[in-house]
Amino acid sequence: MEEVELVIVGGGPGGLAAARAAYAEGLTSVVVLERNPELGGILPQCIHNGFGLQEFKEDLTGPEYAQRHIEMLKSTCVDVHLDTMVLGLSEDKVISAVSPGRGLYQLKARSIVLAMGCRERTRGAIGIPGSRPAGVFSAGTAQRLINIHGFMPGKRAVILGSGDVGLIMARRMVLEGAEVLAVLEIRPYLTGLMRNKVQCLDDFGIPLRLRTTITRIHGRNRVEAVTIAEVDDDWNVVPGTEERLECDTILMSVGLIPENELSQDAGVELDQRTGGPVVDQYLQTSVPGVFACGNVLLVNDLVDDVSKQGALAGVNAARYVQGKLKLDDARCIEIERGRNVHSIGPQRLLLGDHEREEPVELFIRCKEPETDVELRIAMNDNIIGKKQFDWVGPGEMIKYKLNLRSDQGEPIRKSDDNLVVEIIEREVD
Amino acid sequence: MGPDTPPLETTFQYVCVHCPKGCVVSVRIPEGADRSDIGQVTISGHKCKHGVEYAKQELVEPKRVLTTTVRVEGSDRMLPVRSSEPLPRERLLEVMRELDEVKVHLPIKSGQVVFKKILELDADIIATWSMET
Repeated sequence: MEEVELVIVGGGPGGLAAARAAYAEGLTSVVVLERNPELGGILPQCIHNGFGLQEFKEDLTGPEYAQRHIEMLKSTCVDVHLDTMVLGLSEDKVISAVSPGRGLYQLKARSIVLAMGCRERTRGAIGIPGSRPAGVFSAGTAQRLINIHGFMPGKRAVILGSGDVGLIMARRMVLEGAEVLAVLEIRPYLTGLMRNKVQCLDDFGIPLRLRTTITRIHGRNRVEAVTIAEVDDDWNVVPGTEERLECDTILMSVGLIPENELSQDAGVELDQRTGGPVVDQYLQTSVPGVFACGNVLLVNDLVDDVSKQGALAGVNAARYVQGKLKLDDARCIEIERGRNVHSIGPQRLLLGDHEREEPVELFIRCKEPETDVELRIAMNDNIIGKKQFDWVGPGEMIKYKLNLRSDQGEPIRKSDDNLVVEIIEREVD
Repeated sequence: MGPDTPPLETTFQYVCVHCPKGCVVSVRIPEGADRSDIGQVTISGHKCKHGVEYAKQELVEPKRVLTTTVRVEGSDRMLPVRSSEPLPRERLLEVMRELDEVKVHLPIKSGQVVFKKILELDADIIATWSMET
């Protein structure tokens, strides 16, 4: 069996950044395993613009962003296996994979970066009753069908979910000649970006209906209609608000789930809240030498952040292989979630050689929208970080670079052990 | 209010779509002023200069970057494209129908012009992906 220094599972933006960073750090045998016939992950089908504004200060489309990173990888000796599906990851880092070109084969890795991204929640997972006609698609599937394969999923659509994927697809369908009757959102607020509501719905006169969901799908061989209804704060149907919308297509944009079956194979501990592996500030999972980045770790808003996480995972995977990631005598602190914090990544910090502790970027999602708040981070009741926000919402990731030294420049004491991140109401002067 | 009352000043609010921040930019047009008379108009709420440019344009003629796909001769895969400049919002569907007939030949490089000066507007349609075969 072939032995390599680093295997990266997934050739999307996370994997591409990890590969380049590991190579730059000095690894010479790096293999990227990608199930699609081309690199780029989900980006080649995200043909809209808005990517790379932070990283390149340019407004790029998904394919253009992917192309930049693919080109940068070409000048390295990283080996890429396309059309390759990873079937299993063992706890001792043996990867089993299959491809038309190589058949069934195995690789023994000294380190692994997990970069598999995420998949979409389905109609079955949210249990919409009714018949099972053709014409029910996840928004991402519809996106792939239209943008890669050139097929229209239908002519008259209803979209469930006001996240960005649903909003983007509402516009895409209309541009290609379909009718989009409405975007329905079960919550009382828009979950995607306001800019997308403007340029995808308002521009085309597509109504957004909040506190509304689909309660039944009708149609024998093909979707014929949906019954929709309003819901209360507990998501129970308000009787008497049912309406029938005649349509032939339903696009579901009801959530993304990090794709972690392989991670579980490898014995990696997962966080129920992010859906991805529990990691420390080096993005190392509970299995030494296995790192995670991008949407498999936690669902990101911006691809620029995915690339940053990929680079961090790649650098640290390389340092692990080179024996430079010395964490044996580090103390592990679990980060606690306080008021209005749904999830945080990384979930734990390893405190060791304080003099060289780099700032850690925390990715935080709140539970509920709130205005005029302060993000507060406290270690043993001493505030070590804070930031004010006019507005926070679950649809927009809160990022914070935490200095592991206190405000006075003193390192956090090794006896400190209680780190809490919370969002509290701001005292208004 | 009677027929002799002068028109009140008008305020328009736009959510700038330039970047994900989505600043709400307000444009105040004093009474009697022409909306395209930029000197008279007050703009606020933006966090960068792009918000000002966006609001001024929205007032006069809303424009949007168009992203779509076109067919490729000899391949089943679609080619993603974008307009080189924002296009008038009211003409987007017209541009889409014009692109229905386009069939691009391989090989194609990202950045290559696929349709020059579409509908005589000051914008080209350019490829955003490279394809060899």
